[in-house]
Amino acid sequence: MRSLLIPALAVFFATAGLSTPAFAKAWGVDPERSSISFSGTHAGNNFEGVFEDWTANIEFDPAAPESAVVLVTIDTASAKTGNALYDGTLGGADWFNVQTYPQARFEATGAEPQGDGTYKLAGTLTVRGTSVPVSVMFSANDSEAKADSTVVLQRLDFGMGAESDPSGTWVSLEIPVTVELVAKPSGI
Amino acid sequence: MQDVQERYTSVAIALHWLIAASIILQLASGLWMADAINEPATQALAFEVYQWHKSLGLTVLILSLLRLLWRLTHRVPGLPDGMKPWEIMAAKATHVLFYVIMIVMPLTGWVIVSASAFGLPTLYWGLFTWPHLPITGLASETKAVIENIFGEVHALLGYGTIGLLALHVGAALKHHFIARDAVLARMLPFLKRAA
Repeated sequence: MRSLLIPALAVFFATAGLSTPAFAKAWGVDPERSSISFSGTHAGNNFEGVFEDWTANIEFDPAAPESAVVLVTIDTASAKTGNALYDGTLGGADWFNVQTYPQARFEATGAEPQGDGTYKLAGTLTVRGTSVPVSVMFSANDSEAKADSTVVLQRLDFGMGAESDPSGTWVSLEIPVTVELVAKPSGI
Repeated sequence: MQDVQERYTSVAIALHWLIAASIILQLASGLWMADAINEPATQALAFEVYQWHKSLGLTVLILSLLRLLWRLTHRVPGLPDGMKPWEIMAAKATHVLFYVIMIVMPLTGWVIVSASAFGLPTLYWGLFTWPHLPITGLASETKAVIENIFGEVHALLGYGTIGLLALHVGAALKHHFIARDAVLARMLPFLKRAA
């Protein structure tokens, strides 16, 4: 998360000349004010975790929201709850399966204006090779874009824990994922 | 009679009682948690007890291997005179079976944990990750079969341990209160000598 800006910029510059429409602006994420976290329960106890490593490539122009392109890439092995027992299990074959699926992705093109400077970003979340439609709300003006959106995911949609805990006896089937993101247009 | 008065060394006495206390805690926690894990009210506590049971079981394994090493490198105090041949046999068999159980029981637990679909790590007393046995890569159906079989063996050995413990404690008390010899006293940490 510390090094979000540089990869985001690098990808932008690498691709800017190829396919990016002339009016799209690249936005850089403020890592200090941005996080992707998740929560749930295990055996009745609450747990919370964060993804420590992820990058976001954002192209967005408030004047042409339909041209927005967002790609968030999450390093699944960086999921940390602070509980060694959970952290030792999360990467395993029945959960994130980090060996086979080292990354999760959120991809979206085109933001829908909702009025008052808010937008809906309808995209696709891919975890363990399975894609699910996910929508995130954000607000933006010319100098700052902000998202603070919680999406409740069904872990079984992605086959997570399907073998060891398919009925939610241990780990809640619903896993709320919260995206807090602050981005500024690159170059400002 | 010289041999009978001889005490176990302090290393043997310390290992004996550390392992004894651990085995009793393992039997109590094992009997409780196997059912408690399925009750919503006790599930969270039972989960913690499982983690703790794994660390204590591996501790028994380590201590028992040390005890076996001690046993193979030391002459143990002899049995008192006047024991009947079947009593001598029973005493020796009980002790051999204890060594077998103290080592095989934790190993079967280790197999169960390694074969478990949960894939939970064993955090040895929270200090470091104790490795799984190299069976984690097997097909999940195979692992389920292994977990089931070893789960049954682990439970049966648990009940066997209770029987063995009853024999062992009963015999020690008989030596002390009926035969009035030094067999129990020579394994007690704070007693110098039987009266």
